[in-house]
Amino acid sequence: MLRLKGVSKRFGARVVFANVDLALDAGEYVAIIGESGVGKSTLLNLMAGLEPADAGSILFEEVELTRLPDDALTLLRRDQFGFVFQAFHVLAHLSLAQNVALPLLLRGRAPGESAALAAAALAAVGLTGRETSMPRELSGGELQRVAIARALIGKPRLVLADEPTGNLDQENARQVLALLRAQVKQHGAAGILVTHSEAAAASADRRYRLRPEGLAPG
Amino acid sequence: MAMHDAQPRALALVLVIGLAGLAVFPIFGADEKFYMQFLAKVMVMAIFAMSLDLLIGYGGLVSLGHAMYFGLAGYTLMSLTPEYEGASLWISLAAALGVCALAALVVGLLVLRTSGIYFIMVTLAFAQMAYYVVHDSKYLGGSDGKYVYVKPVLSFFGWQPFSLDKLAAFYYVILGTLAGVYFLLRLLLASPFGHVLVGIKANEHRMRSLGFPTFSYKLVAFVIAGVLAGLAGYLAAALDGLVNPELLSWHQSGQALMMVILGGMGTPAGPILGAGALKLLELLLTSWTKHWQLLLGLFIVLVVLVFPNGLASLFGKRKRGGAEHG
Repeated sequence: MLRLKGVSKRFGARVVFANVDLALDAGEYVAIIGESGVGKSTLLNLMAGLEPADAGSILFEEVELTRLPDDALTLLRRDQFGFVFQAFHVLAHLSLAQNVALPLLLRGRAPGESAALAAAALAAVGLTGRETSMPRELSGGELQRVAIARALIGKPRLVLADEPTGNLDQENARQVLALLRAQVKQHGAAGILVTHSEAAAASADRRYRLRPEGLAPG
Repeated sequence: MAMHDAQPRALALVLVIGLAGLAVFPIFGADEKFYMQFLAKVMVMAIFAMSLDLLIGYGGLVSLGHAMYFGLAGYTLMSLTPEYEGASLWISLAAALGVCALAALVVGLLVLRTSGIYFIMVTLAFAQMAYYVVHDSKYLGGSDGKYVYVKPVLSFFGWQPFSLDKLAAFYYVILGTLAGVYFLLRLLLASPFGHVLVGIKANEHRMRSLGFPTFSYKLVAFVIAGVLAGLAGYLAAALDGLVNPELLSWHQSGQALMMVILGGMGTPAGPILGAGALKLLELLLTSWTKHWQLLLGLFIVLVVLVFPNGLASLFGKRKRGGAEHG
């Protein structure tokens, strides 16, 4: 599904990483570990076409992302990718159902259908009946559940999670990681978890360590 | 999907009372032409400030060149008005708004590739270019500007329900336009488009990762704001019967910015409150002292310090557009 070959990124004269290779198939859930500042989030952005790579090839479903124009990348992200961020990024002025349904806005779904899908997605992450609640009423762990529901509502082929437990305590982190893994597997998607935490990475099928010279198993 | 950012009831009540007061003023103050004209100008500036707030308060796009559209619409009306008869309101208004939409589209395509301080400076640069084109154009009247001798003619297939020459009639047209723009913006911001715009202000990267073409959304907002500013500029030119380069100046953009900040950014009623407060204070202070600008400046500093969310926050707290949880 996703193939990275010789991917490199530099900021000015500084080489962030070079020669990153990765192969990921549907149903696989892998973790990329690395210290802060090593370029984990940058690598995730490259995979999603949010930043350009300086060298190498990024193939998603046999499509070369590095050659796609912005419009096509936007469509790809909308239809095929789901994101979970460390800081949740839940909009304070929208209800939980509205936040979760956000990715469906551009897909031409009827409002009733979007609402039903959002309710189902919230139920799947353990927030049954909380559709009209507002983000301020939720704990950090619950907000991250909302973010997971939002990432998966569009049935993405690839889920990209950037330090999803960075703002959570140990117990909430454990629950969110288990939920994320279960949801990715249940949807038959591929998942990439980027984290600095060894404990979080343990929830993945495979682990890779990001270093300036590339990705290495471990 | 309804947005859960309804303004506080106290503010809604103030708005209703204010609108009712404005609606009955011409009935009880028919002889007070000066004040009717003054209130009409305040309402025009409120429309202008609301259009700017769509960019600043909801899109996070601080423009210092918004007066360009205000002035362009006025000059379009002037150009289409024959010397001794009024221009058709429908044709001149459509032309003015069309010019503003086109200008905003072209400018937006270029300036929206920048952000932050660069965005502010580039919008200012475009407006200043337009200002000097108008200022140096003999056809457009140069620095003196030109008169719009006759007000536009409102007619439906030859039937004229009323004449805009009558101040009271024009006053009600402006009041209706103010209410219309207010409700249009509320509808727009409660729509999926509004949700996305607020999401972009909160975190553009997040919206891009969700698959939203953020540039297109910002461009549409920029064009809508330009057209609404043009609507205000058209009304201002028709009301005053005069256009001059000051309509496009950075002072004009700055005044609208002050109104938005004073009233409250990202609050639908904030710019109306800001326009009312600023113009009313200006009126009071100018009749009292020649150093009125000093006192006005002090007042604005005081309001910003005491009410950082603007005068609208006097009537209750609300989550401002663009807030993010997490």
